[in-house]
Parts: sequence; structure tokens; C-alpha cells
Amino acid sequence: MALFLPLRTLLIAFSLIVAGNVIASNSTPEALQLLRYMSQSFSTLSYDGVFVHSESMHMNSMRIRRDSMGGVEYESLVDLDGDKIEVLRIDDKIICVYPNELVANMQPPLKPLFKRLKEVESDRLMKGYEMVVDSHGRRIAGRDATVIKLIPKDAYRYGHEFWLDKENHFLLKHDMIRADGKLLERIQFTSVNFSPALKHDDFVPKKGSYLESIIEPQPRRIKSLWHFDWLPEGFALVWPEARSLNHGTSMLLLSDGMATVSVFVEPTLQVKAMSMLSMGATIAGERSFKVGDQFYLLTMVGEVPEATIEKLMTVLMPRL
Amino acid sequence: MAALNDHSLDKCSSLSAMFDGEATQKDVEYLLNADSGELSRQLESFHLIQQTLHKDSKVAVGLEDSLVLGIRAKIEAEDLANESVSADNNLIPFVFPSEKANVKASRPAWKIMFSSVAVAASVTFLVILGGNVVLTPDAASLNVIADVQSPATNNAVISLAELKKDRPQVDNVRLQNYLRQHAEQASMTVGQGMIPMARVVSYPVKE
Repeated sequence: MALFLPLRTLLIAFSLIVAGNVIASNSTPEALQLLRYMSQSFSTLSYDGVFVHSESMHMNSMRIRRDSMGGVEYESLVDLDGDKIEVLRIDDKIICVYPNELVANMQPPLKPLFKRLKEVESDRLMKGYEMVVDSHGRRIAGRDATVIKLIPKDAYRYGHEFWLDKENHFLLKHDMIRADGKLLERIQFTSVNFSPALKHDDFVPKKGSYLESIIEPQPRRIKSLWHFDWLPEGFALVWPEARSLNHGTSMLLLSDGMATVSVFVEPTLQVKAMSMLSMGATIAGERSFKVGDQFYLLTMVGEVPEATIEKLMTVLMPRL
Repeated sequence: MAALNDHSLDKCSSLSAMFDGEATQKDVEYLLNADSGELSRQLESFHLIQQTLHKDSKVAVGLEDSLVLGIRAKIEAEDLANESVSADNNLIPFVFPSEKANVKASRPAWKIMFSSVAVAASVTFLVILGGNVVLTPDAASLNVIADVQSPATNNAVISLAELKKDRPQVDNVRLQNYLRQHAEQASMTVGQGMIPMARVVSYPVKE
């Protein structure tokens, strides 16, 4: 009898693995569809809610509002703790308002280059993540939720858990999780109203709330002088060209359909060894490198593991 | 003459920064390149003032003539030992609290020495200014050991919250700009409305 015990254990383990894979593979189309609905809900629903954003030792509560009036999309995000900083989005124009500072930033419309993407990148997501849907008995902010788990297939990205409203697929909670299970960042709504009585005035910066505006030059499409010798599975450039920012900085954007990595390259006179900075799930890496006689400063920012940024920083090459 | 005054002011400023425990890499390099005899005389005068104001010799920090020379010798010895280490493994002064226990042992001797001196000097300064403030060098050293380290091989990850403390302002502004650009692009691409902007709203983005 004892001889059969290991065999039985093996069979049970095998059955569980097979069952798990079946659930995961069966869940993928449903998960992708739910993510599609989630993405659409952010640009179709009207809402006024309060959520908590927490990462490492910091926690902030924020109010988010969105409505569409006269064919124009209005969105507002207000920091309820601390400095009462507000970010407004009117269509594709983003305005940051600092009530007690001498600075406000107003970016001109960026369309059509930066027009919001509403499509879910199914192929890229499937390359990078296993997907599992769990629709049993979860409640967030008093609303029933369905949970979608994105389990990374490799160590180059984090895991994600999305709690979506069962009724309208709005994102009620989002966790970003490291490979060892450590929670890196959480966004969780505490209350949300899907029938808000929002007015145009709700999206206008209050008088006297800022004293100065800085207009940044509109980014231009330029031919990219850089390419990556290697990318993690599923990652690809979001734009075929680079964007030219101020001071001669080129920006590239990488994404695997969920995580994004921004790449900034600029000429510099300083030599800088590689350094890494973190804030919750966000990692920023910096280093300089030399091409011919010119030094360049490379900065990468993304919600990916430190090892991903570190490796990506060593495989950016000039186009020959 | 004006140049000489500027030179003296720079030296005093760097020395003062060291006394406050706020010396930058530049201050440290400046002091190390300064005339050690002159520095020692300056340190001695601080020492005399401290002794005059506070007679308790236990709080004295032992800033001896050979201090700067000693540090310089330690650095040179360490440089020789570390010749094989590449430039990419340069020191980064801050780490997460959870990692601090592991990194204490890897601190180069000269840094420990300089840190201790900086804190001890801060103690002296407190005594000079306060007249009757009693601190022990041991208690103060604990704070420094908790904050400063130098990873030997790996790139340590610095918390972004520490940015304001140890980076030039221009670097902070540039990185904050990039964080905002990144958050804006993320809000356009990941289908979560403005929620990704929460990362920079809660971060002190000032220019």
C-alpha cells in the first residue's frame, strides 16, 4: 500500500496541474474580453469615486471624476491628502494644477500622436501572461466584482490582479505583485457613484489656484536613432518612431500590453554610472554611454522589475 | 584677494557641511584636496571653542591633525584594493531599511571613518551652539550607520523619496519630468483612465 502512495500523490499533482492549465487556458479569452470591457468602461462611463493608492510605505486617497459633455471628455484626479494637487484631462489635454505653488503645467493637446489606445493588445498579453478569471463572491466598495489574474510567464514583468465591477466592468481594485508574492502597489476604490451630477465647472481649475503656466513644446515624431538588441517576450515598441521632447531628448515607449517602459535618451556631458531608483512598482534606471565622441544619458522608467530595466539599459543600441 | 576669500569661503562651507553631516561628494573631494595643515588648524580652532564652551572632555570628538591625511591614506589603500571593480558598480549612498542590515559590513573603512567624523563633528557643533546639549558620539553614530552605505557589487535601488536629499536639483527636475511623461503615456495606453497618474500625483512633482 505504501508503494502506491507516491504514485497516488503524483497522480493528484498531475491532475491539479492539468486542471489548472485548463482553467487558465479557458480563462484567457474571457479575461481578454473583460479587460477590453474594462478599458472601454473608462471612456464610456460617468463616475465620481474615491480610491486609495498605496505603494511601499505611502498611501494616498484620491478623487477621480469623469464625464462626457458636448462630445468632450472631461476627467479629473485630485489628491485628497497632502498638497491638493489636481490633474485635469480635457480630451487629450492634460493640466496639472498646484494650488499652493508657483507652478502649473499645461500640456497642449497631443492628438493624434498620443490618442488614447482603446484596444487591448491580446497577442502581447498572451505572450507575457497566463490569465485566470475568478467570478466568485468578491466585493469591493459595496459592489460585486470579478477577479482577473495576470500571472507573468517570466521574471521580466509583475503579476496583476484586477477586480472589475460585475455590472459595468469598471476597475474597482488593482494589485501589482512581485514574483515572490509581495504586494508592490494597490489601487482600491472605497466608494464610487456611476450616476454623478457633474458640471463643466467641476473640471475648470479654480481661480487663483495657480499663478503660472509652463507650456512644453509639443512632442514631434522623429526617426528613432536607437533600437533594442533584445526585448522580453511580448514587449514591443508602441510607436514606430521616437518622440522628440525638449532639450534634444528622444522618447521611446515599450509595452507588453499591460506594463509600459518609457525610454529617454539625451546628449550629455556627464558620465554617469548605472543607478536604480524605485517607488512602489515604478523603477527608474539611469546611466550614460558613449557613441563616437558623444555621451548620452539614458533614463528608463517603468512598472517592471529592476532586472528588466537593468537588462534593457544594456541592450539599447544606436542604429547603424 | 577676492579669489582667496572665495576659496576660504568654499572651504568653510564644505567644512560646515561636513560638520552638519550634509557633506556632498563634492564637499568631501574638496576637503580631501585642501591643504591638510590649514584644515587641521581650522578644526583645532573649532575644538578649542568647543572646549571653552563645554568643559566635558568626554564629548570631545578627537579631531586630530592627522585626520584628513588618515582618510586620504585609507582611500588610496582602498582604491588599490578595488582596482578591478568596474565603474558601473559605483557607490550609491542609500538603500531600503530592510537591506541596511546586510550592507553595513560592506561599507568601506574610509566611509565609516568619514561618516563617524561627520556625525561626531555635528555633535561638536551642537555642543558649540547649544552650550549644554549632551549627546554621546555612540548614539549619534547609530543614525549614520542606518543611513549611509556603499554596495560592493550590485546596484542598490534608491527610494525615489530620497531624491531630494542626495541629487542635484536639476537631476531631480529632469527625472520628475520623465516620471510624469511616463505616467501620462501609461494613462493613454493601459486602459485604466487617469488612474496611472496617481503615481505622480502622490509624488512631489515640482519644478
